[in-house]
Amino acid sequence: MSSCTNKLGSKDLRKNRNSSAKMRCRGGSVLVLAMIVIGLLAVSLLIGYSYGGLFFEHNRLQASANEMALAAARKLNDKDRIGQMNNMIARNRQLVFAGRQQFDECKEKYPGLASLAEELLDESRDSAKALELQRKQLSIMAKKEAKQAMEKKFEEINKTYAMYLPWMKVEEPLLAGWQCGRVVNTESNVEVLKNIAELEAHDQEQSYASIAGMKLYKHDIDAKLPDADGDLTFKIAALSAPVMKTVAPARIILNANYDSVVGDNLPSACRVKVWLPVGTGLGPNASSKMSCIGAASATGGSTQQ
Amino acid sequence: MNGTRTSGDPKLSFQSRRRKASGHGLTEFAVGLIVLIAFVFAPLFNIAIIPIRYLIVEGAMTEMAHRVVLCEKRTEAYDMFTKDPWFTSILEKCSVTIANPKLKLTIISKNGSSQISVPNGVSIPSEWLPDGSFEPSLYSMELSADCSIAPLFSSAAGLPGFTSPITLHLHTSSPWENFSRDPVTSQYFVNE
Repeated sequence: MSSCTNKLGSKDLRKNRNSSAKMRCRGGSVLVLAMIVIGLLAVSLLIGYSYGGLFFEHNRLQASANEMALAAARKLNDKDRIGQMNNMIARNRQLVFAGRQQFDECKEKYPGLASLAEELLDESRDSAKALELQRKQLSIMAKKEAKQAMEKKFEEINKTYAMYLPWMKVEEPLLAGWQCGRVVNTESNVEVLKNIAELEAHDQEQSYASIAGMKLYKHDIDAKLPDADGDLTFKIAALSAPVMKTVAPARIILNANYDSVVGDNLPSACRVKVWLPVGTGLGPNASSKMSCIGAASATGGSTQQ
Repeated sequence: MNGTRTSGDPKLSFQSRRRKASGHGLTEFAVGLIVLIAFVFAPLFNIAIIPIRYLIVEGAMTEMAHRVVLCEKRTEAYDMFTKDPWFTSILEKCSVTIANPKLKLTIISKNGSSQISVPNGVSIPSEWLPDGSFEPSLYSMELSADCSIAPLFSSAAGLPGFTSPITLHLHTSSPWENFSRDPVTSQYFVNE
């Protein structure tokens, strides 16, 4: 090429140089284009992997929701307080029933002892009323403490989520709500008390106890006593019973196995719903809330001493 | 390169050279572009989808393993694994075909020296129960399957990963949750 350019005049030489420069530019444009294409490919893959990562973000959110539910559920039956309350209620019920029987017997056979029997009956009835107040108090306290435990866990985990990429934004999770309830197909932790045949017959008649296996009081019942003591409340809550000295540990459960409690019965499970706002940064600005529900069961009742 | 044709009218000569130079660049550009797209961009894009699908399948299997261990009974876990449409539908959406899906319970002894696998329909031997003589400490449900992950454009035959699905044996496990006993049968729920 250099030999050819020697033959040209200075004007032609300048023109020729310009032309060569243009050729170099066009040749180089393939390289530039290749770089652009590879760059675009890399960016599109990066975006693809990031959106694939949302699936893992969902799994992570589910694990967090489960963790929060478990923290709350553990607190519900802390030191077996719900189990003990159920047992106390069942025993107090038996005491009132026995007191009533003794009082009726004394009135009929030993009138001199009737006043003493009446005192005993009144005492047991007062205990039932006091126990009912304590049960309501326990319900409030257990729920409050469970909520605090859940919120504490939430505070621990929510700072680790935020992620801001040019093409994707993941915000901090939001606590959408929480509930206290029970596990389906779980009766109470209290075995039907024996030794008073009339009470057993009454419980059977009223279908207060489960039929198969261990005879446990059913969940969320108000085991009313007959006749004059029918005004008293004996609410027995759902809680996993100890079977052959095996206490059910607190555990995560399927959301489908969670159910709400009836009325003001004591809870034995928790359910937590969390949201994770996610949005796109490139293209059309779309945002959405990823939602996860975690549920957990409280520790079961301990064996009675 | 075209210097030998510079004799005669210089204006015409340069116009001719410019046209030839442009044409040459365009040809080079088109060929380069075709080679780039056909042999670099398309295959790269085709196989790049496989890791994304792999991540999704791995996540789905982990999620499924986690779901089954939350069941109350082991039989319910097997039922969920075989009947829950979520798992298969999410894999279908990702163009992943599942073969030989297996779910089994693996129990490891306290000192980690021995372990046992319990398939569906078989009861756990008494020595491997939570209060058994082996003092087992870890019960996990293991989920495994042969997953055929297809690239973006695939055919039945060809090079696995490039033009046909690549088959991977995926395996995941999750610890069993419910260690309580059934009040009706007095058996451990994990053994029902």
